[in-house]
Amino acid sequence: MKPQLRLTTLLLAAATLMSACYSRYDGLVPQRSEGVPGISDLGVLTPATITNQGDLLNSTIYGELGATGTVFQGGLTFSFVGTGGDVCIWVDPELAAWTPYVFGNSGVTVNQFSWPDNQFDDGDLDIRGGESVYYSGTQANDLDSESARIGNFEINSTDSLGTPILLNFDRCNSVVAGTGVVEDCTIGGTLEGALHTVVLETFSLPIDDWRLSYGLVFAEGTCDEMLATLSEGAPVNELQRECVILGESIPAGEPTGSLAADAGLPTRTWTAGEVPTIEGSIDFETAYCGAQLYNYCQEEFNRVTANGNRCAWHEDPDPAEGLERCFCGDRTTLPEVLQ
Amino acid sequence: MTSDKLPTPVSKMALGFALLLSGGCYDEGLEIFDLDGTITVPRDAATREVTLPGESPKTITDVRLIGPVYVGMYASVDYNYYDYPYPEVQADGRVYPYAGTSVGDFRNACMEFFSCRVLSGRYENYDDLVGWFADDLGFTIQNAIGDQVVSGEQIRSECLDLLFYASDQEIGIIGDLDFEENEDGDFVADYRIWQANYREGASVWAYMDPPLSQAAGTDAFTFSTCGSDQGSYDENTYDRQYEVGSVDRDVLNVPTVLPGTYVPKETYIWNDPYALGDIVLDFKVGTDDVLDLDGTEASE
Repeated sequence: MKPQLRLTTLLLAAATLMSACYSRYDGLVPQRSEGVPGISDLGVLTPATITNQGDLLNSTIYGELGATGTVFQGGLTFSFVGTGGDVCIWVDPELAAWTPYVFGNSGVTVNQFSWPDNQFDDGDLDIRGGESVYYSGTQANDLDSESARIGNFEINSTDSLGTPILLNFDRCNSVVAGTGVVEDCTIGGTLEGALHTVVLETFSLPIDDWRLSYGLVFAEGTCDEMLATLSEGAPVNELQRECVILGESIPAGEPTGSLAADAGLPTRTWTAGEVPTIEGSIDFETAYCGAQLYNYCQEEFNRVTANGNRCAWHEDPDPAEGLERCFCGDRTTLPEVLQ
Repeated sequence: MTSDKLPTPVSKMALGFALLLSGGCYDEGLEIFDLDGTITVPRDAATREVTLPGESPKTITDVRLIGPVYVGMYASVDYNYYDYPYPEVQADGRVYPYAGTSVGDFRNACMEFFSCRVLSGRYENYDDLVGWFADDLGFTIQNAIGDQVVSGEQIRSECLDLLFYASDQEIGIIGDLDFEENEDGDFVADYRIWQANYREGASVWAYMDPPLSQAAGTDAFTFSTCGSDQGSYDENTYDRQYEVGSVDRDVLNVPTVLPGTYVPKETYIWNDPYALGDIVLDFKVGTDDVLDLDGTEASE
């Protein structure tokens, strides 16, 4: 074989191998759900004035995010114009999660968290926010634009000795609450007239269907002030925060709400009056907020078995197979002595 | 080389060992050095007026009034930001230290009363700890079941039980003092910033967080750089339920320098990686005065 031909053959073989490696990543990341954006942008929002529960309902935006189908992180973005005052971003990702209490129940003492969680229906959104001029991502919907990317607020710089440093202009720096848990961020003293960007990064998707539904409130003032208004000054514990937004668990395949579309919101969003909440999920959330989970889970289990069925922990169980969706987890996953 | 001079297996092994050993001496060319030096705090920083119940005010000078001293290495330090020397602030409001340390760390003395009040390097024994707070400052110290603490042994046994430690070293409260009084009546401690990337011209700056005054009520003689919600943990063992308290996470990234804090008027500039970096905390924030180190004040 001539040297030139040999080199060409080697290069072709290398290129083939490289492309084979590249294509393999498709199997390592969750695939897109049809019609569900991995990255979505709500446009420019105005912070709502919340003085009561009605205001909260009227201003809540529900939505659904899926996988990007790539190695890039997905999420939700929106913008707002700074007023000089504080704003609150409050997001409740599907659904509610807890770690089972494993010391067991004794006698009449029942720990409400001793039943396991359904770990398949929970996801996590992390909040970042700041002035748009520092934002490195795009604000677009990846169903419309392949170049849509979630970014950050980090800027490369150097100090006076020439040492490279990475500046971080994220005003929601420490908001990472965990799976299925409400996260909130108060951006204090927004820059008047300047465009600000908020990012809700999809940290994890529910593994039952790779679709993460959420409820979002964007309000004037601090989140503490909003909570105090809603609770009329009564203290709100960590569990009760889950019930500020109810009904964020949305079944797959639902069309975009017409009221949301009229309001200029993107695909797969809904307003409070039209959100297609999964049946029974609000009862589950309410039990969580009231720390009545053991009672709820026991009743759920009894109801399903009384019907001659079994619990399913994934989206859309088939009733023909005797499966019913359960919000509580599989008790047989606990050590035998605790079941 | 003839065949009879070829290396034998033994000599090959010896050669291998020699190469291995020489590897330990290889200079990797990393410009990483420990910076050693001293911190001098003025006598004024260790002096307070204290009033015990039913007694006239008295002035105490004691090493236990010296709060934690945070030492950081920065690109520069100047008066551009505040009316006292402060590290170079970047556009995001942070100061990005290259390295740092502290002289005195918050310690868990195993009773709620001591949360955010006890530092390492300030007590030679447990009786010192009890004597300082009970006799010198006039507190009544109670343990978890409400018994009055009158001896150091009560603290020691409580800690060994609560923390599952086996020695005083693990508890980390007692030992040699960090600061010693010098001939001028000021207090000097050694410090070491471990494994700092050498940046020629870097400024070494420090500040001392003084204890809150007696007027702070239940917070008296705690420290403002100690938080109960950052890196701390809830002690929740039987009848002991309290926040232990630990150092705030941004003491060097976003130093909060309150009036009454001591900082150096002149920082140490690191121009020789092997030199000693001596710092004098002679500037009392909130005043226009620079303390000379015999305890009096001389105007700037």
